[in-house]
Amino acid sequence: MLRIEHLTKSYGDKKAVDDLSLHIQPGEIYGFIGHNGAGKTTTIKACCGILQFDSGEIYVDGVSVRQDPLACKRVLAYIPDNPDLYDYLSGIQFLNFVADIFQVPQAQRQERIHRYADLFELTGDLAQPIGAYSHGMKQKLAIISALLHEPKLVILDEPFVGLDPKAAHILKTLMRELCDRGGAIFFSTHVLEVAEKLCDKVAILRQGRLVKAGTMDAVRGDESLEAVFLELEDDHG
Amino acid sequence: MVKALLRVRLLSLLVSFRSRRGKSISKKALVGYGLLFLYVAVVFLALFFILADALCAPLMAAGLGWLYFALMGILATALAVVGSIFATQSQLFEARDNEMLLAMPIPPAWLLASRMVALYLQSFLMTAVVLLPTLVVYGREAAPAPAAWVFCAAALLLLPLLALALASVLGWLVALIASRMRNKSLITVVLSIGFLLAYFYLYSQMSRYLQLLLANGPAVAGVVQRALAPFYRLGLACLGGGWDFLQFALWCLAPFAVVYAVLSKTFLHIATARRGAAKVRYREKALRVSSPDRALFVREARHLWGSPMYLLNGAFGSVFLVILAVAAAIRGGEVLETLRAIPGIEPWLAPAACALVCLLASMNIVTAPSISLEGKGLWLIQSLPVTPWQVLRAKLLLHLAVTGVPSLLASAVLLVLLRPGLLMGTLLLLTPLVFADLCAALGLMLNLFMPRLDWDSEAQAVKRSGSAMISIFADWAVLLVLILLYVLTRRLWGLTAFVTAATVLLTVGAYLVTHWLQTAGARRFSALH
Repeated sequence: MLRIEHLTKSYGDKKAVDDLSLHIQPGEIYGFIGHNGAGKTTTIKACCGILQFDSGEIYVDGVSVRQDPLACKRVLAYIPDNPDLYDYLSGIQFLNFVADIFQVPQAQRQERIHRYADLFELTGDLAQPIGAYSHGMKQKLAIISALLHEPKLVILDEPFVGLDPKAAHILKTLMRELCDRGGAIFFSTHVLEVAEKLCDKVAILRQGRLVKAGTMDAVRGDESLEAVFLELEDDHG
Repeated sequence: MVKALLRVRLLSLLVSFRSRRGKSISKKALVGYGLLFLYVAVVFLALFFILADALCAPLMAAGLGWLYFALMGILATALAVVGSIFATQSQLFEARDNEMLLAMPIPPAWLLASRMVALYLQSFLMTAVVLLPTLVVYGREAAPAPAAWVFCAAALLLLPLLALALASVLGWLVALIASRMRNKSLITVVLSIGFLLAYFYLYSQMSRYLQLLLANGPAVAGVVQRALAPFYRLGLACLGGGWDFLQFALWCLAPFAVVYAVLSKTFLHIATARRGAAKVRYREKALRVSSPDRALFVREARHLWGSPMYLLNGAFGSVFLVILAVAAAIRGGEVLETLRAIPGIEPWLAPAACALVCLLASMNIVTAPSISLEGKGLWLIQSLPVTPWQVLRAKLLLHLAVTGVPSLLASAVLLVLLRPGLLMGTLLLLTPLVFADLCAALGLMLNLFMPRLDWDSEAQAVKRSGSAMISIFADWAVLLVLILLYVLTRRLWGLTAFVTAATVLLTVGAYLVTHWLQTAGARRFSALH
């Protein structure tokens, strides 16, 4: 579903991502962890076609992000850690806008907005301007907008920040359901307990380089993911 | 502690001059901005110098020297109040860091004081723009005693306090009204257009009012003396009256002290109150389905309408175009009759009308800040399955819609008034549209070269962005070049032939810039982050 091959991206002299290769299969929830500034967000933005990278390739459902970014964007959804949405639109206007861009038919968009808004208890606020939303509400709205077109790949950057426990639980359930339907999830997080419980596979990034990747069991062995992560930090520190 | 707060205030002003990613602006650009501000300051000083020059000698000769200072003081105060209302609203009552600072061990009164200092400086600059020419003209006409100079200098420092007190009260009122209104753009547009119309009416009647004033000096003096005591005392103080100066100082200090005391006591409540328009209940109804292109256009339109700052600054020209259309419809006949009395003017009328519509259209800057206004939400449009050209095209179309419709309206009214020939009539309708197209494309191109994405308030993206400032001058430069071209080549062809050629040139220019936007511009947009 997502194949990253020898991805390299530099900002000036600093290599933010250095020769990264990852492969996310359909049906997988793939966690992406690393210290602050490790290159997670750079990798994620490159996968979404937001950031141009120096070398390597990224394929979304077999299509190159470099060569056909639009085709890739049509099948994926991206939710950043701090979803700066359009404050001047109401929630429903924003969702309708996204549905228009993805050309979601009227009946489907109506049904999905109704379903997800009810699920995240956001229905009553859909007529309010997004500028009046709290961080958590914006996060929920961003999640709903990401699911409207039923993407095959959902890429999330720190998705649980700002979500209340109920919303976080709903999101985890939706993530699992999407993968059970053949989709894939690629998300970064600092909350290692969540990654341990949720992810099928995990990759650990340090200073732009991949230090460990594989199934959750293979990566953590007999230890906790936190212990493995801290050990790797100490080894390379 | 107050010093630390003041330092933060000043730093935040300086930060607005930074370019992307916190890098300092280049020396060249800094010099450019400096020259631009200097130019604006010189223009204002010159305008008020001319006014002061017209008033000083006649009023002094009539023994109403105090009235001279009183009138200029009223003007200075009005300028400072009107110029500071929105600043006090945003910096005192709606500052983003209010809650953060109030959570620290900072007495609200000190926080308020730090903000008031910054606002006082702003108020001082605006009153100084009027009072400095006032004092220069006075110094030239009279031979003021040293005491008078001392009182004048002190008045220069005290008057901004009165203006600030008034602006604080009005700013609070505006903040209160705006917080209750769902459509903030509407109130801002209505207030601003109302002010603009009032300003233009007064300006158009200026010479009549000056004559009336000079002819009825004693009567006017009586009114000011009775109804505007602070300015009466200001006038007498500037002539050297010590006791009058003390009274004037009291008039400035007392209101400011009262306002400061009241705000200090209520600042915590004002800064943290969550007033808002009543919550709108969502009622599920059939959603309208649009094409991606239409959705992008509607998004742009909603942004413009939803942002008072963007709307007023971006569509300023449209307001003038509508005013032109209305004024031409009502008074156009009279003006035309007067103009037609000038020998040889007839062939110039339609081309001049065309140029006027173009000039007013050039005051719209819808596209010039539109890339910057994507701000931190840029990721969203870049992550959606739309091409960069689709996004840019939506911005161009909005500019054309906002500018083209009023342009056509104004052109149509002028067409009916002037009744030029078929070709010139067509050009009168078409040329401003083509020019608006070029302006839209130029503005967008400039913003792609000078995007400013890391703003904290939209004012930084709209009013303090290089692309917005330069785009107006660039548009005027295009018009100026065309006019110069005609002046240099007028022996070769007539006006209508020239306007035709100019329209063709503008079309070619618009095509070339638009082509750049489709290709290199789109690539630039993709690379933004």
